Amino acid sequence: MRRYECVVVLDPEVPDDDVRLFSDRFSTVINTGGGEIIKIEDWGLKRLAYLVRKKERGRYILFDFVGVPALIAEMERQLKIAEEVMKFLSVKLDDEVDLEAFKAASQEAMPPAEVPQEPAPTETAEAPAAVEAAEEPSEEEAAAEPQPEAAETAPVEELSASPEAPGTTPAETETETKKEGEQA
Amino acid sequence: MSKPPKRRPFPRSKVCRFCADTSLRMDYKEPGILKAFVTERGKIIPRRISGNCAKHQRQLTTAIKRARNIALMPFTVPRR
Repeated sequence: MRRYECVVVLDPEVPDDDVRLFSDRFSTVINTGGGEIIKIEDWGLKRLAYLVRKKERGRYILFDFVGVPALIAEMERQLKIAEEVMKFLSVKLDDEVDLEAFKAASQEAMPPAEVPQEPAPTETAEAPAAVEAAEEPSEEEAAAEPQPEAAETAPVEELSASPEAPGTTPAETETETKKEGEQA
Repeated sequence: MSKPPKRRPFPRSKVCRFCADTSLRMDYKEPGILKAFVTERGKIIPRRISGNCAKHQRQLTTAIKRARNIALMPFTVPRR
């Protein structure tokens, strides 16, 4: 199994609910492909360094997961199809990951793992909802359903692992898979 | 015939900043650090000027190129 990281830039006009649906959709892609999610981060809306699809901002989502090379191929295929995805980049972080050891380590690192990210400036006018979301402990039900009021820009979801057989993977020599959408 | 003395327009730092400070890590997700190693126009500053060692310059280059790819850093900054 290898550890990958995939940054996805979404269209800034996609509503928060759809963003959550999107990350759920791709978590299932990872899980059905025999992968294991380590974390999903939502960086919120960020200013782009150049215009992409004539937009100045983009919504950044980071998937950190363990998987096999075939999973990356499938994931990138689906990312290319998905309409709301403006850009994406997958990077291999580690060649050999011992899934069991990793799980044990992440279990210990659970409490400090929920570092609140600084919220990026958003145009979403959901101030009261954000206050509500801040009050509830978002760690336990992070793996659960998208809550409609959690309109926070930075929920760091720690999806703990489902039991999964770590198979040995056919060795391929791909260092890194980079894809880009159109450039401005 | 004596040649005119060569001038160095850029002050050259002699040590690699990443070697000197191991806590400083380059990451394509953090354009803040990478920004110090590109010009105002967004070009990567050569090793000869930045003083980076070969290993770190290579890592830096990949990091900057990745960051460009996902629009965290500019390819070029157009002149106004």
